[in-house]
Amino acid sequence: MTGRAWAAAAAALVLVAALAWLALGPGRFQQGPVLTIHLRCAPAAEGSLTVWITPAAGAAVRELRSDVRAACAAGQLQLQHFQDDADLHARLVRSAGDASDLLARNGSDIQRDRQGYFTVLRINASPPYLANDRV
Amino acid sequence: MTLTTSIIQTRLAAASRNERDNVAQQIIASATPAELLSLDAEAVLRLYEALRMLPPLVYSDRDRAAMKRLAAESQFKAPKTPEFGVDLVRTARAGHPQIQRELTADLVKGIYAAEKKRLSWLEQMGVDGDTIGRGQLGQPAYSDVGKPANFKAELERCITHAYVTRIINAQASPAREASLFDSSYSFRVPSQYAWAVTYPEVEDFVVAAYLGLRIESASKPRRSFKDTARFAVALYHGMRIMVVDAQKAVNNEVDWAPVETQLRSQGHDDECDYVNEVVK
Repeated sequence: MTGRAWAAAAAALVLVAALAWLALGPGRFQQGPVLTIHLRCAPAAEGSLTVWITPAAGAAVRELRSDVRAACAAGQLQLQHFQDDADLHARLVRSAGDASDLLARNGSDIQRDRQGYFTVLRINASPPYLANDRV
Repeated sequence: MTLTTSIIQTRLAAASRNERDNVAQQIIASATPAELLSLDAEAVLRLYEALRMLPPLVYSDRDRAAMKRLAAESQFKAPKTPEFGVDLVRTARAGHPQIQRELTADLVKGIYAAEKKRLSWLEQMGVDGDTIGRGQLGQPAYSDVGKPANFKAELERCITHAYVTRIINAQASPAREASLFDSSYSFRVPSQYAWAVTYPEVEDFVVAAYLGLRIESASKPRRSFKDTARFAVALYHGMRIMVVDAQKAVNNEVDWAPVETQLRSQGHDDECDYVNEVVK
């Protein structure tokens, strides 16, 4: 094979790799395991919801803050880079100012199936305002 | 004196290495059927080792005869399966009424039948994807089953039973499992499901245990036991997102019937058929 042929083959290889990267999406390689938090909301649910994960090692904490009405309309939240041993914390602050905290434990409240990690949170209009639920 | 692991260990240790197979023969010959049946894995492996693995490395007819009695009368026989795996899970979750009622050998067989019907032609040719075996489970499911909070101890018992059974029933050449026990006469649980699934009784256990996990996560107040099994099987089949969406659409998070109606209206007939084929 001549030098020009080698160069053409290399260029073709790079092109195929680039196309594969674009087709699969860079996020496929970067996002890691995802935790899906399914939300079940009372019609009058409101306030702000903050969720964060705490790995057993205790190092990284990833936080996501959402308006409850918007999150409930979407039906779910997703946290990237979930770790197999991590728990989920949630805090609901209603417009009245009161706060409710919840812990979703890995292995019991947080499960894994063929579609990834998931948990179900219920946001109520009366106490308890925040609760773990099951499919 | 009743035959125990400690007695076997002491008697074998007292003999010279070349005499240990003879001592093992004597132990087996003088044991009652009840004593042989009660021997644990370590005791059986110590006898096996003395008969077959230690110098002079001659597997005589008398060694073979002793091994034959050990294989025939110890607890390590090919189990009735999937009952064996189902019983391990049910015993581990004695206080969970839904598992006691709904986790049965028929449920596991139903999963196998429903999965077999739906294998792609590639899978039928033996080309597997992320999920493998009769139960079409993957490595994450196996890892979850083996977590300490789930069924780690039962998985170890199942693996030990499968390995020891093969070791003491090997005929001409030693079983491959004979090289897998360590100096404490225990086995490491295989990290890869692709290895574990080659043992039918282990696969049966893993499928039963994973169904047990799904039943636990589908159990909630006011939901009937039968509906709990239906939701569990739906989750086993990877239907979680469509089920959650259907529950929201029909505003019912407890019962299966309205969810099934909603799913069928959306064209998910095969998924609903899967659930009904498994849960009868």
